[in-house]
Amino acid sequence: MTAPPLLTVTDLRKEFVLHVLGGKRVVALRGLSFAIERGAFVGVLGPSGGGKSSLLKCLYRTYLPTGGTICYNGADGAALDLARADDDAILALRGAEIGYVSQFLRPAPRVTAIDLVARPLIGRGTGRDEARDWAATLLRRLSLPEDLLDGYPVLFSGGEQQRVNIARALIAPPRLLLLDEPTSALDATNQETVLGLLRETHAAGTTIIGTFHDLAVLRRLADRYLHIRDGRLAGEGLATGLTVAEPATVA
Amino acid sequence: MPPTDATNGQLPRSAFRVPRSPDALLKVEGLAKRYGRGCDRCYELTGPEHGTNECPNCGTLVACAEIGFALAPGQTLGIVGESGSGKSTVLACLYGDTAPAAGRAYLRSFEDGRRDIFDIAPGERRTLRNFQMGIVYQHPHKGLNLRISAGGNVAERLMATEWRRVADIRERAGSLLGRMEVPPSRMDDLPAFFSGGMQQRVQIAKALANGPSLLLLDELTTGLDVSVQAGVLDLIREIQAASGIAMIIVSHDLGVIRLLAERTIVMKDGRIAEAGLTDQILEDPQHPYTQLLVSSANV
Repeated sequence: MTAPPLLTVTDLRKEFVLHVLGGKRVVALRGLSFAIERGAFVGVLGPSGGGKSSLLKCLYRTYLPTGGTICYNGADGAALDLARADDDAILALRGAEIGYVSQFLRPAPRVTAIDLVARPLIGRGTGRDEARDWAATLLRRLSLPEDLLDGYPVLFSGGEQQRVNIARALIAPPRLLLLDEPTSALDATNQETVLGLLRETHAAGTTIIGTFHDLAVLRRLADRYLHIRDGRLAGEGLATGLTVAEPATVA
Repeated sequence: MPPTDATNGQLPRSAFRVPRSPDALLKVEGLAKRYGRGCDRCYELTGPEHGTNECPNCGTLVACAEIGFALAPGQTLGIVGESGSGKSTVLACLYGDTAPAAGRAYLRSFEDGRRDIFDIAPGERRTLRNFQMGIVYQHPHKGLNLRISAGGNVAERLMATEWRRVADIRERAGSLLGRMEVPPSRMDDLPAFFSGGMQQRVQIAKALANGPSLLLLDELTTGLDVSVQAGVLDLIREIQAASGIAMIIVSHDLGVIRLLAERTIVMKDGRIAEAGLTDQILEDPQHPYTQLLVSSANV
């Protein structure tokens, strides 16, 4: 028999009620349904404000879904509804199985880049010195200047912060990785390095769901795409099947 | 191809797993505290939907009510809210500084979590405070005896448990204070003459002296200079990383909560307005009060 999908999203809805603005309602997701197979690399595309980031944040539970279910098949073989699971269950998954790279790093103050990146590895039981060695290796591979390894990321440029953020997510590859525009602040060379690392992480077994504003990048990395527009699924399919008509809807 | 982990040959279940918390270190149910004579309408007439914690019928102050939560071992829970929201009262009840009007609480490290810690004899309560919990108050004079030395404060706590030999006690107190970056040269000085940040470090050393499973922090950086705050917060983060101790951090400062807590409870007018993952509370607050709090803060 075939394995169940890693993730089955059914009628996912997200609505914000802004009490500070007199109860104004903002609808971000209007009922999304899709499934993601284990081992897939799915690129999410669509216009700004169309719901891409909201989707990732609902999957990570930074946003509390308003309706629908997110059925996640865990490493223990049991299914869990991420939309309703209790906080401790979500924290356990974040520690062991699900990673998220936000578009912007909000690093804790007074923690060096190397310690920030080493932390997830230490959390999984690696010794501190060894974890720091791995962190340094990864940051060097991402061409972070040597003198920044012991610097505070709070003071870094956007591109440097983004690389620290990616290193932190990839040092202990999760089972499911959610990426929000992981290369938006990078120059061409650094972008290539990051794409190479993402490809390696995917090849090693991590299922990846990422938003990419650059269609060329999406086509090179992803095997499938989801097109999200106005909070709805506007299309999905094989990334190689993305037509030129699709990019026009991205802007 | 993805590795075939996990299912171990078992058929995957299609039904959703019932969400289950790992065995909680601390479980609190229906905690309430009132100041005043009380009437049978105190609880129904107070709370965020009434915008007050004072009973309009009898004038009783309902400091907190219907407080329930669980805390996993090693986890840090933040309690945020404005002054008078009842957040410190929750800590005071847990530590036994004040007796609750209602509620039950179970601590796994105390008699396997089978006994309600609100319903134990004073002697047992002392044992619980001395062995299982540590507390750091906003005001050092509540947590420290300012007329005895910093080392003496820690020693006092050690002697409340099984520590007897003076040399051992002195060595342990010195090493604890050292870990909290209190210079050895200040060990025999009176904390009354310490800076605010240093006094908090002595309080933390004292709270951790007997290796408790739960650390309660009540506005520990409120009133300190920003740079001093940073040092104390870093110290708490080091303790989180180095030990498996669970913490409850009460603060009105969302920045402190964001930095230290994985889960957060928002209190308003003596009740829990909202509870959730800290990033969810900050990015997708549900309750009107939380939305106001988050939109007013700069975190």
